[in-house]
Amino acid sequence: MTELVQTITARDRTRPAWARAVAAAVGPVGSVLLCVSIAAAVLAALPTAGESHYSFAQSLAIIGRTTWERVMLPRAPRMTEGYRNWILTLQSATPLLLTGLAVAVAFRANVLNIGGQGQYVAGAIATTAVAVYLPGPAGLLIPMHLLAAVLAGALVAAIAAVLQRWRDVPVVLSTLLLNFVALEFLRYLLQGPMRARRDDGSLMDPQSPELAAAARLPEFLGAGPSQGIHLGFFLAVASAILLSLLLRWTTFGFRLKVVGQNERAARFAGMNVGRVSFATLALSGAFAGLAGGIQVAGLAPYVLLPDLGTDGMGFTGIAVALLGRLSPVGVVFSALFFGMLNTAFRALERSPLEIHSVAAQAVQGALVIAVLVVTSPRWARMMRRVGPDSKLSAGL
Amino acid sequence: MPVATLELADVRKRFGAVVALDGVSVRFAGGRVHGVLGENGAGKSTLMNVAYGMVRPDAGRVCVAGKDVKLASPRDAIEAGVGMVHQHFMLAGAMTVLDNVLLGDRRIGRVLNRRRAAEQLAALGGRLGLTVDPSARIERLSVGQQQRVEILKALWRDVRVLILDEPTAVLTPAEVDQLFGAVERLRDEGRAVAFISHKLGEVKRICDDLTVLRRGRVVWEGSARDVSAEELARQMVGREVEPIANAVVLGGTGKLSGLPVGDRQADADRSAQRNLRLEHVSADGLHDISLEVAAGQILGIAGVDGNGQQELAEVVVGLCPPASGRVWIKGRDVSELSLKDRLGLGVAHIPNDRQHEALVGTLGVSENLALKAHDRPPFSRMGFVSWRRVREAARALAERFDIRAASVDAPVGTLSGGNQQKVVLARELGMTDEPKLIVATNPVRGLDVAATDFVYRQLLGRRQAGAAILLISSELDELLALCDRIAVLYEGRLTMTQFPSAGRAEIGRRMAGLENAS
Repeated sequence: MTELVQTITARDRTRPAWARAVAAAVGPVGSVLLCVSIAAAVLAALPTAGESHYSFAQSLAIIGRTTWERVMLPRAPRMTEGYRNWILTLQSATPLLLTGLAVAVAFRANVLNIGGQGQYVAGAIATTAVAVYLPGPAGLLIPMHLLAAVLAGALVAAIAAVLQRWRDVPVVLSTLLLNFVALEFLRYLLQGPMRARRDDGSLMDPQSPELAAAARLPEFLGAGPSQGIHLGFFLAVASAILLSLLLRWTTFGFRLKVVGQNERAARFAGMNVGRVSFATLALSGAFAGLAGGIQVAGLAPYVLLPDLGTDGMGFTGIAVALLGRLSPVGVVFSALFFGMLNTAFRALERSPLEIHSVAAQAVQGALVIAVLVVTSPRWARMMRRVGPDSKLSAGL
Repeated sequence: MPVATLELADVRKRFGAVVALDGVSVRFAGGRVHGVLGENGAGKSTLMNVAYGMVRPDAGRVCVAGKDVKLASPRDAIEAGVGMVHQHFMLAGAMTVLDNVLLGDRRIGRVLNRRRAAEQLAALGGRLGLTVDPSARIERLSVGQQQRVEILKALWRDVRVLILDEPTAVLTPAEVDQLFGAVERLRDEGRAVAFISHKLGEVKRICDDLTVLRRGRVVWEGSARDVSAEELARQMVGREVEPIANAVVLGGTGKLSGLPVGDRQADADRSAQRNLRLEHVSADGLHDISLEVAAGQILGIAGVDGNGQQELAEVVVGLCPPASGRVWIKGRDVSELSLKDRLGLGVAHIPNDRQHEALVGTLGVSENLALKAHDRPPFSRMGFVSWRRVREAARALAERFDIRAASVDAPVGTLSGGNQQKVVLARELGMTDEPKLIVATNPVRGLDVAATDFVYRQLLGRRQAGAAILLISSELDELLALCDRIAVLYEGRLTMTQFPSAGRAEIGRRMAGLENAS
C-alpha cells in the first residue's frame, strides 16, 4: 500500500501547478477510497463463512454490489419509497458524531480524554433513570432526561479533572480507568436496582424497563418506531455547530486553543490553565454523555442494555475525531464516513458472503488505522518529501 | 597557502523559496582559527550543518584533507574528521562525563575498559586545559564545564576540524578566557577551528581568518588582523550600523553617546516613585532578594543563566508566588496577586524563551497579540472576541513595530526571530496602556543587529516615558550599555554593584561567584 500511495504522490510532482492543487484536494478523499478498496479486497479474499463457495472475483462483486445497494443508494432496490439506507447511516453516525466532538474538543486543549466510553455509559444511565423513574410532564421529559445525560457525562469527566488538580493523576489514566468503573456500575444496575420485571413480577434478562413513548426521541421520515432520523442526529449536528462557534468566537474557545497549543505560553499570558482544562474536560464529557442518552432514547428497543457498555462508541470517537482533524466540521464528515462503514459491514454480514461479524470488526479496525495514517498531515508531508526531486529519494 | 583541512566549494542550498546558501566557498586551514560571521539568516548555521552532515547541499563539494566526501549524517562527518559543538548541548544529564564522551563511539567494541578510557580522557583534557572530572555527573556541572565535555566529546573521536557554534553565548567572562585558551592550544596542535559568532569583539580576539556571510553569500574574507570591528559590522549588515546595537555588539563598555539620556531633573523627580520593590523575597531558587526600581530607570541583573534569573522574573510578574517576603508594584502590595491581576497595574513581560513562553507558534500574529488582552474591552464583550477589532489593532501595531509578516493571520512560527520578538514587544508595550514596569529577560538573544537595535530603542523609549525596567541578561555588554544600575545574581542571591564605578572585570568576577558583596 505504501508503494502505491508513493507512486501516486510521486507522479504528482511532475504535473503542472493546477493539477497538483486538484490532487491536493482529492488527495485525502482518494487515500480514503484507496484504503476502502483494499479493505474490500481483503474481505473478498477471506474464506466465506457460509456453505457456498465464491471465487475472489465473485466475492469482490458481491461486496461491491452490497455496498452500492445497501449504503450508497437511498434505499434497497426492492423498496419503492423511503431512505432506509441513508437513515441507518445517520443513526449509526449520531453517537459517533458526539463522542467524536467529545474527543476533538478535549484534544484541542491537549487534554487526553479517552474516557468517552465511560461518560457515554453515564449519560445512558442518567437518561434511563430520569425517563423511567422520574414522574414529570410529558413535554418536559425529553429535555430533562437529555440534560441529565449531559450532566452525568460532565460529572464523570470532572472526576478525572478533580483527580488531576488535586493529586496530579494524569487525565489519560483516570479517564481510561473510569471507563471500567462506569461499565461495571452499568452491569450492577442492570442486575439489581434497575433490572426490569415482567408483569408477573419475575426478573427479565438484565435490562432496564422500557422508556415510555413520551420519553422517546421524535423521528422524521420514518415509517415506524426507530425507522427514521431521530432528534438526536439534529442535536448532534447542532452541537458541532455550537462547538465550532465556541472555538472560533469566544474568549473561552480562544483560551482552550492556546492551552492546547502551548500551555506554558498560556500560563505566561495569565490564563488559568487548570480552570481551562477543567472546563474543557467537563464539556467533553457532556458531549459523550449526550451521545449515551440519545442512544437509549433514540433507538429501539428503548431500553438500557449491558451491551451498551461495550459497544465501543466512546473509543471509536477517538478515531472519528482524529480523522476529522479535531475540527467540529471535520468531525461531522468523519462521523458520516464511519456511519457508512458501519452500515456497509452490517449489510455484508447478511450478504451471501455471510462475512462473520468478528472478521468484519477486525478488518474495520485495520481500515480505520490505515485511513488515519494516510490522512494524517505528517504522512502527507512525508510523501511529499519522497518525490523524485527530494533528498530522500536521491538516496533510494 | 596552507593545505585546507576542510574545504566547502560553491555550496548551494535552498529551503523552498528561500536561498540559504548561494554558492559559498570557504577554506578552513589546519593551525588556524577561522571565524564565520553573519546576522541571523545569513547562512552561518546552514553552512556549518552542511560541513557536519546535518544538511545536504543542493550543489557544491565538501572536501576534508583534500578528499571529496559525501556526508549523509554527523556520523559520516565525525568519521571524516569533522566535529561540532552545538549552541545547545546534547548531553545526557543523568550520566557521567565519561559515559557521555563514550556514547556513540563505535570504536569501543563490545568490552569497555572504563578505567583506561577515563585515564585517556583526563589526559586529553589536561593537555588542552579543559580539566573536568570524568566520573562527575553532567547535571552537577556548570554550563561552562558542560561545554568542555562537548568539546572533549568531539576531540575524543580525534577530529581534525572542530566547529564551535556560538560557543560564548552561555559563558561568564572568565569561562570565555578558558575557552579561548583551549582553542589556542587546538590551533597549536594543527587542528582547524571554525568559530561561529556574531560578537565582533570576540571574533577579533581569537580568530586568524574571517569570513562574513550575508544573505547566503560570502561578502568579505580575509585576515582578522587587518580589519576593524566597525568595518566587519558594516559588512554583516550591509550598511552603517545603528549606534546603540553597534556599541553592544562591539563589546563597548560604559554609557553610550547615542543613548537618549533625557532630562536630569525629570529623572530625579521620577526616581522618587518606586515602580517595583522587592523586600526579602525568597522562593524556589531565590534567597532573600531585595531590590528597587524607580520610574524611568533600568536595573540590570547580570549573571550566568541558571542562577535564579527565571525565578526572579516569575516572582516579579506573578507566575510564582514568593515563599516569603513582599513584592510591591507602584506602591501596591501585589505579593498575593496572580499574573492576571498584575496585568492591570501595567506589568509588561518579555520572557526568556520566545517560542515556548511568549508566543504560540501555530497561531497567527493577531491571535498572539491578543493573548493577554483577548478578554478585555474593546476586544471582548460578554465572553465573545471581536476578531475584527483584534485584526485592526494588529495591523496598526504591525505598522508601528515594523513587524514583517505575510499578513496579520500568518502563523507566528513562520516569522523570523526578530519579527517574532517584535510581536512580543508589540503585545507587551502596545496592546494595552503604557506599561509601568517592564520585566525583560535576554530580550535580544538570537536577534540580528537591526532587530537588536530596534528592541533596545523600544526599551529606552519606555524608560524615557517613565517605565521602570528590570533587564535580566546574561550578556554583560548589553547591561553595561543600557542600565542605570547593575546587580549580580549568583546562586539565587542578589548583590548590588557600584556600577558604573565597578567595571566589567569586577562584575564578571561576581558573576562567577569569585567575589562577594562588600
